[in-house]
Amino acid sequence: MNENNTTSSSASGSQTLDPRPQTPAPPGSPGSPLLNVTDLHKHYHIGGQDLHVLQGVDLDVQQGEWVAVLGASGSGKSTLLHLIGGLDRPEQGSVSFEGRDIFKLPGAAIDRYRNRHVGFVFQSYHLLPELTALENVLIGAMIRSSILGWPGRRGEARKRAIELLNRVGLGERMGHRPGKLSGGERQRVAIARALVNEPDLLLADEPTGNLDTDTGKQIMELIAELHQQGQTIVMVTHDLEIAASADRRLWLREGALAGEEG
Amino acid sequence: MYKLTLILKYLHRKLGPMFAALAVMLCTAMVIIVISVMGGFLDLLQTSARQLTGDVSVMARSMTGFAYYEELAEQIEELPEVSAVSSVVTTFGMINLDGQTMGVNIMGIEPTDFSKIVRYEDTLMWSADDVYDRLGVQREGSGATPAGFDLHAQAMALKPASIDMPGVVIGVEVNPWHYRDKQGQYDFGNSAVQQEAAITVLPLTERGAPAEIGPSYLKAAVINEFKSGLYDIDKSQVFVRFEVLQKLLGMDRKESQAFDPETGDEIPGATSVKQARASEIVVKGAEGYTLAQVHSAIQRTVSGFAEAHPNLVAPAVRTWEQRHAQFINAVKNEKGMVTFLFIIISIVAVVMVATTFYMTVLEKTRDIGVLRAVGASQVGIMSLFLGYGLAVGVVGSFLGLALAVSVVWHLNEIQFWLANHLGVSAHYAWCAGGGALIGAVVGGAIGYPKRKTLRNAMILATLLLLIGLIGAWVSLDQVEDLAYKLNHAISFKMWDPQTYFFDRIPDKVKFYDALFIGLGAILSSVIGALIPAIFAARLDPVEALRYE
Ligand SMILES: Nc1ncnc2c1ncn2[C@@H]1O[C@H](COP(=O)(O)OP(=O)(O)O)[C@@H](O)[C@H]1O
Ligand SMILES: [Mg+2]
Repeated sequence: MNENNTTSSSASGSQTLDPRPQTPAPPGSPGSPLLNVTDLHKHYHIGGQDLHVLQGVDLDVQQGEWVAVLGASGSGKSTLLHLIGGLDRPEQGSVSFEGRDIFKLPGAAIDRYRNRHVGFVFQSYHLLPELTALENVLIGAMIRSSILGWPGRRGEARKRAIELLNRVGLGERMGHRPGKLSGGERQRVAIARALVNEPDLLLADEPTGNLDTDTGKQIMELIAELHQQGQTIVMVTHDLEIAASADRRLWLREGALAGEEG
Repeated sequence: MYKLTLILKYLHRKLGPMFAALAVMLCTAMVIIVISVMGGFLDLLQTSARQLTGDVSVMARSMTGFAYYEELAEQIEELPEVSAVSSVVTTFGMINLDGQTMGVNIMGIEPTDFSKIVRYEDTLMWSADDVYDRLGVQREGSGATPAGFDLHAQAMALKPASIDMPGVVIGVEVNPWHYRDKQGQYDFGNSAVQQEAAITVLPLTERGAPAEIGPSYLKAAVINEFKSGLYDIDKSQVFVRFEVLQKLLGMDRKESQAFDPETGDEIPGATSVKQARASEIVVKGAEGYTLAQVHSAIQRTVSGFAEAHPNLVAPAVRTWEQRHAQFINAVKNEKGMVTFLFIIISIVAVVMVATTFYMTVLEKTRDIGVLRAVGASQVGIMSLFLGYGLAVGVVGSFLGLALAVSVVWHLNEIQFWLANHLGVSAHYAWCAGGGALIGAVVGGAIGYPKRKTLRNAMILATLLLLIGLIGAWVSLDQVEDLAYKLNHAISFKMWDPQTYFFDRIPDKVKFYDALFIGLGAILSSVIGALIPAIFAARLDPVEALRYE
């Protein structure tokens, strides 16, 4: 089934000669992609008007790859990322993770997918204001664990959360609530939160969008570092400069993805 | 796991649900207080009523009483369903104490028998020692028998010149000089013991006409006072010995010269007998029989008795419940109203919690989106808010329980305080001081996350404390007199013993009442949280994340 999807997508791509990204796997990377998006469609209905935001998006992301999706504001970048992360459902098309179409899974399994395999980083951080930095990072691990399982897991999860906070340079501010942190610091906490369950895929939605240039750069350095350590990343942005360090840049235009040359 | 963490965080960092908990607390406290007082009232009324009338009464249908009562009493006493009987005479009359005349119910009793059936002995107010002391006589023998227990015999036995007359035991409120001190206690110093009481009754013939001799008059000595706790009884009941009242009413056995009914001539050697009469036989049922069984056994005996004496109007057999049905039903109705109130209050709590929680969910919409993005399920979000509702309910109902228990246990003191200090008084100044202290604590609790708020709260509390202390100092010295006058003008009696039957407000909380209401409050909170919780669970995570 999934094999089918993959083949049909590449087949349709070559047949129509459409500037869709064929994203051939980088030379030397064998096997099927970690993530495969095929013919994804998403509509919004507002005030009787039909807005066809995604009109057949195809995308393959290999293990360890850093893909940047560029597009103007309102082009549907966030929508695409939400679909990849299983937060939303498309009208048509599939998102396959490790060969399995996530939208064919039951609801609980999609929740689990978001919890364990995907980490979200948002433009406006979205930290929980009542929790400290450390607790915000831990929340994904807490959600993963039942209340009875938590005492057994807590130590390990805390260790990892502290390690992550140290890694993003916030070892000193673990007990602070988001209100006490700067924008850059909040985004670092958000990145640590996204990584707490060691996700296969990091989804970043304009992670520097709310930050000044210098802070943005630091965040990008952090992301680049993560990539170097083997983290697979799909990042969307409207800023070409930000996308420069990614392995691959794709443009979302008129509801479809186009490759670098397009 | 995240649910517990978030619930605990939200509990002490969010003000809205704290208000919901406060509302739950007040609802819980209010219902427990009302139920405790009403329930206590009903229980008190029932036990008192039963204790004051005995289990079953065999009552004359007429004030003139019924004859052959001794025979009937014997028959009833032989029933296995019956453990004790005692005959009494009752009538209306007047008592004159030191020039004050009051209308009273007068009951003639055999104290020893009567006390086996009706709570009498332990309602007596003054101990034998007090009474003997007042009368200035040595008591004979030892033993703790309270004075007045054996009315006439004792009074006669004492034999001080001043009380060589039958004794009378009066209800404590019959004595016009009694008043209660601050603790609601009566003082022996004001008692009527040793005073002479003049009792006037109107004897009736067997047919109910006023007897030829006219009103009868008895001089008696007050030898004790009783307090049943039922204001109505304490205000209007006096006891004398059975034979004394029977004789006074002309209901004793009389033999006289017989007359020929046709000629009106004396029939030599023949006597006509007027049988002695009693008003009532009070009966105590035997252990192991229900009230209904006791009642029907007595009813059968009375029917047999009526057949043996066809000329008599058979007396009525009534249980204590039947005799007091009106009171008891009235209070039962009120308890029904309280249950209705409980339902309404529960709905109020549900709505309160629902509104605050709906607001909280709206406020937390984006966070809900975040939690979904990090992997929380719909069920998880729903149980987060249900758990939050549960926590608010538990906190609210425990606080409410604590409040209710402390209020109910001190209800009489509160009532006393309100009645005596509702006006400007020194207490208010102390209140300001106490308020400042509480203000400091609360201010500290609320303000601790923000130092500035804390400092402001502390300054405000200290100011209040200073004002309170100055106020207390001033009022202690100079305002006391004014306060006293004001108190008199605006005193407030929450529980007026003249309206209600008891002189003390019931002040017990029943465990099961409290448990049931507490659980009800918790359930109400969870139900209140249900709709907001479902709403939260059904939020579209993408929309929630975009929510501003
Ligand atoms: N819930 C929605 N209802 C209607 N239109 C929406 C909704 N969400 C997004 N859109 C529209 O879809 C388009 C794509 O949105 P988005 O994915 O946020 O774009 P981007 O992230 O590239 O700026 C925009 O025109 C936006 O107005
Ligand atoms: Mg966007």
